[in-house]
Amino acid sequence: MQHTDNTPHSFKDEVMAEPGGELLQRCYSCGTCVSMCLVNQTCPDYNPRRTMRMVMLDMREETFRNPTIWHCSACDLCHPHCPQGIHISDLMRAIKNVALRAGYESPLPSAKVDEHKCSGCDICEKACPYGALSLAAKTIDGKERKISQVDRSLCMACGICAAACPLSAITVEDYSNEKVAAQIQAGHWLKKAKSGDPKVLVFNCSWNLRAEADRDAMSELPANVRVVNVPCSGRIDPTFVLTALQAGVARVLVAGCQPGECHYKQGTRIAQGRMHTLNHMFEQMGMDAQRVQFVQIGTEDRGRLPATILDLVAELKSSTVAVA
Amino acid sequence: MVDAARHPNITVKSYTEVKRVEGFIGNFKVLVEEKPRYVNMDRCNGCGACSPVCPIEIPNEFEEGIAPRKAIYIPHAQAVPLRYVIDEEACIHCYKCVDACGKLDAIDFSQQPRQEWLDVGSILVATGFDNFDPSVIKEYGFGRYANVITAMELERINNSAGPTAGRIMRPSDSKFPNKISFIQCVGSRDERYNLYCSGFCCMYTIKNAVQWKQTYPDADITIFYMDIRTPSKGYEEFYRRAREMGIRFIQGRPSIITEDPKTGNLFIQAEDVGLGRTIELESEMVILSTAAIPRVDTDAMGSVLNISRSPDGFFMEYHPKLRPVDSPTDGVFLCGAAQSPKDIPASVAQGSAAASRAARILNADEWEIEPIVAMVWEDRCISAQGKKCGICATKCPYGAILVETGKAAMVTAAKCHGCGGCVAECPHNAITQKHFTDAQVISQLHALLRHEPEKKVLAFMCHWCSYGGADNAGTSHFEYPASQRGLRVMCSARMDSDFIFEAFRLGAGVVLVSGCHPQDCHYITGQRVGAERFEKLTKRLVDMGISPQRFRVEWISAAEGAKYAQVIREMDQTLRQIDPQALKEEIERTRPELERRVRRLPEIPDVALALELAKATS
Amino acid sequence: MAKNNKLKIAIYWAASCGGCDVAVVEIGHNLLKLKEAADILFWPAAMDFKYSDVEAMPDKHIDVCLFNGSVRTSENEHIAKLLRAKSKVMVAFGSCAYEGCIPGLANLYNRGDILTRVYQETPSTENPDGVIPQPHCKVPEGDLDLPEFYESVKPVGMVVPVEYSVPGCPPVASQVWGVLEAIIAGKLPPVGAVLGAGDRNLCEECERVRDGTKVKQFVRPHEVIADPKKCFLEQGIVCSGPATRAGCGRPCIRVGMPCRGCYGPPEGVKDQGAKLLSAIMAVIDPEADVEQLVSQIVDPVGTLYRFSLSDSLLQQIKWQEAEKK
Repeated sequence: MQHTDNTPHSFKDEVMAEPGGELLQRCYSCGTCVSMCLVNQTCPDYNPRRTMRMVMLDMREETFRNPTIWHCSACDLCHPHCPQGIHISDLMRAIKNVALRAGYESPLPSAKVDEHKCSGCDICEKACPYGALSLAAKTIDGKERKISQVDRSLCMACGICAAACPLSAITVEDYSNEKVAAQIQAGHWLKKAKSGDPKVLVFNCSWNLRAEADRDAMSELPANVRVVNVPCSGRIDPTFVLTALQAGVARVLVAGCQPGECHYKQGTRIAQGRMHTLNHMFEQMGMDAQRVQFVQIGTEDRGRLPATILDLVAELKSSTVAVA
Repeated sequence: MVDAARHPNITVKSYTEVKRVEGFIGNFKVLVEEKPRYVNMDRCNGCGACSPVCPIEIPNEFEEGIAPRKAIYIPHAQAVPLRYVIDEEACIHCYKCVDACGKLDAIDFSQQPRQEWLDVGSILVATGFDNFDPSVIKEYGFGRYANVITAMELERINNSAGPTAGRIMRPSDSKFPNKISFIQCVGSRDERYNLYCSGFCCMYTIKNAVQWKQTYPDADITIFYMDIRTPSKGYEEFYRRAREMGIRFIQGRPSIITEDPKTGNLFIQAEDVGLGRTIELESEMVILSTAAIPRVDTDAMGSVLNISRSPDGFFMEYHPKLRPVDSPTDGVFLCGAAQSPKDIPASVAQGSAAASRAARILNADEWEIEPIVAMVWEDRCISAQGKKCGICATKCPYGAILVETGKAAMVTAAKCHGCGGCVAECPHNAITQKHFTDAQVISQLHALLRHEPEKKVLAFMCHWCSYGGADNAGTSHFEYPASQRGLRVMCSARMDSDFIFEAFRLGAGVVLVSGCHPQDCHYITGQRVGAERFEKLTKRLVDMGISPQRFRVEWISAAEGAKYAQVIREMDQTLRQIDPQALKEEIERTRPELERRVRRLPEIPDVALALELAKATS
Repeated sequence: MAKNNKLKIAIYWAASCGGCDVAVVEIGHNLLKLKEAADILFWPAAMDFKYSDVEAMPDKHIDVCLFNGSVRTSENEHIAKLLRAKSKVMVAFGSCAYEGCIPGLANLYNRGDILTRVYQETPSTENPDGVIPQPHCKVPEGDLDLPEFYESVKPVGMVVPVEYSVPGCPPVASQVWGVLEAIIAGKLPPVGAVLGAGDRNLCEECERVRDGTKVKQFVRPHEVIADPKKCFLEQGIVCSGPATRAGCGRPCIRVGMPCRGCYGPPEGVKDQGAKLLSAIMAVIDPEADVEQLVSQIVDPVGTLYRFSLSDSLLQQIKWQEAEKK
């Protein structure tokens, strides 16, 4: 007999009743999504195929107890490759929604708003790719003001809001302005190497390298190159770039994902807008516009980022030799 | 092919296109057009002096474009006849071939296409399949990465008569690749491209891998698959042998291939599903097992032969289980991959079956057909009175009706399959369908709606789909309310507007018309004829004041018993929610208009009698 | 010279338009209260004083010096240093003194370019011999010295240490009086503070409606008729409000112009232009063409650093490069 009412009878039905959960049972476990997934590469416990199996087998509590179900950032690299046309991130969202209703919470770090600094200007709300930020009235220092608030269940900790906030009122754990600055300066790298090799600072999005070999190559770069990993190129405030250049870095390379492949949907486009405007400004100031460079690395660009960095180093070296 | 060409009773017409097909089972007339070869077949002896002097080189289609061919060429070594042909598009008319041919004087640029009519008793369609172009699957890099090739290309590289003389080399650097991978289901079992399983790729991939491993025991061979499908005789054993030989099988569909531009090597990323972990595998060459897809000209061929396509794009058989080699048009048969992807044994089996089905016709003086054909009442047909009409002919999916103004429409009974579309569409009720006459259907209607019609769900069902669906609901014990009253006709095309008016006139509570899904129609385009009619009818009924929820159109396949039951349950529910008094008032209010609509029904032969009998028994 | 307990105040204009001096006058009847509380020892824009009067003062004689205008010439620098020596508290008063302001945009060009343009190329100039003013020249009457025209414009804080800054081009009258009241009352905050303004950004006090619309294209104010009730940025008009200190009372926005940023960066923000760029690019529409958006910001330096260029990191980098050469 068919169900004649709409009450979900099992975990599977509950997920399938959520928007995005409808196609669950189409999955035939080919694993395409898993091997396309960048989260899975760094966090093998996050396995969307297995999660879908668990839902299909009504393994409710076990599904929720896996903290990685929250890791899907809806970058949607997998969706266009799925031979069954399943929108996996929508499905993961459906699972998260059921988990939230069951009282589970996202274990991910989330953006934090300094309520004293926040003016309620709303820039963050528009910048957030996940709709995790919104304004709410709150009494601060005896005055009622509209303050930005973070919905923890939606925040993916990409840091786009932290860069966007014109008052630096938002911080994302591990990637605060101070911690990024500390990474740039660590080991007195800038002061130390007076050896004549011009310094290159790379702000690298943590998601644009698919190949293990490329990740290895990034840790074997010459001493005059410093790589600062950030969750997203959209986390890069142009102030970071200018500060580094002022501190004596010869070139800043910002590496994001190819448009359409950004782990946080919008970040790479935002970075592109910022960095290319910086190029224009350097030009206007009569300076070499190429002191800041922006590259967008695609999932198929094996070897491209390390090669780009090494080319940049070689080019700088030859130009300084020529000047000398 | 060579054997066939030599057979005394077989004429092979190669390089020839079928342009038109007329007539019917046992009596087809086929117009064929032989394309100009620009080489005289009688004079050319296939010596091959012309080809080497030709200055043109273009990719050789038979060699999958790996090797070149000349503008004057033999398509492949087993071509029939083994004579040269000039590719007019590539030829620059330098006439070097003419000089080389010399005294034979076989080259003739004055040749024109030649048409001729053939009389044939039956037609077999063995047009085969095309290969899926994997370059649209961007993530596999075919066309971008030199060393990603298709299985068909491997066949040529691996062939001793092929462009490399059987020496295996990879495209980027002509080196022998020792570490190779095969990827299965490229373009099949993939809703972005083709949902179906191509069926024979698992076996040919295993064949290629085994062949390779036998010749090069040190080779490192991996096959990425989702499911290995080896359901025929001896196949599973062959698969086992491949595993025992050391060919690595990884269950997991690769998501992306990247290339190391320096080495040209490829990195395949896939989840080993058994392991539950993503792996990256380096390969020197990747072979894609591409889907078999319908030939590019399937549509054109289908309209010439008046046969239809299934949802997968291949030619549709008359019945998937009971008449798998017949096409919907009598006397036209399907063989091999034209009907669906098949391997060699299955193609041979179907070809043999089709040949014997065809031979039955060749050996018969008379042919028995279904008795449910359409028949014209010549005295009622306005065409006979010199008026222009011909609606019936435009609705016939089989071209079985001939209309000439001045004469009554004529049904070629041998071509008619009995969908009844012409009967329902004829504005003058001048056609009837044997065993589904208007009088018979109306009698049934009256019987079904005799008691408390306003409490009934009247369901018109087509024989092949929704009736099957209702049957399926019964055998599967999907319950639906007893208020349902079913009325079967052959096709939704037969469901005449007059029947529905009559049903409402009799006070039917709700009326369902149901038939096949558009792609499943047993009568090629019958469903479309019905669907167009119901669309107009829905509006007309509303204009007449009938509540929209009282009339419903649903497409239900023979497998959708649950859907049939659900639809009936919903309609019963709808009926229960209508206030009985309001319904009664609506029935009374709309009756005069409905009566006006059906006032000419008794003019149809036997209908008046049927109505009288119905009245007498009520 | 006054010999009493009244406060001693000096007001000076260096490279400026004079608007800041007018801003002081604009405090209106409060001028009388100022006069009661303080003696103005030096205010060349309003009254006749001689530099020698200042030179004659003992060091730290002036209690508070409101210094407006940036440092463009050697004369500006000289007086800045002189007043610094004579003042207990030096206030960079107004955007020019605080962060370079509009004169600072001249730093997009060098001295040579500017002099050539002004003395030879402008259509209104008649200078057949192409004479360009020189710091020293001999004339029949003797040697002439003119102040030297520097390579670039600097805020006063880069030439001499200042205790406080008052932003604004010019500072609005109410805030000016607020600052003066604090000076008179001796209630000045810790050294380094920005006076006469809020801490956060202008959006906090803006009454325009924000509905979350993202930027599909950037337009300049004259290219569209902007909805007077909606946020400028959401209409694609670059408004400096998000990266500009609150406190002006939004005179521009109230008359239908976007904030141009004269109150400088909010508290804690180092570089106003970079921060504004960071903010406006974060709210672009996901469908919009990024390169087109970038190109729609015509004159990015002038738009993003309209008032703060000479106090920016961008400027620092340029100066460092010039130094190396």
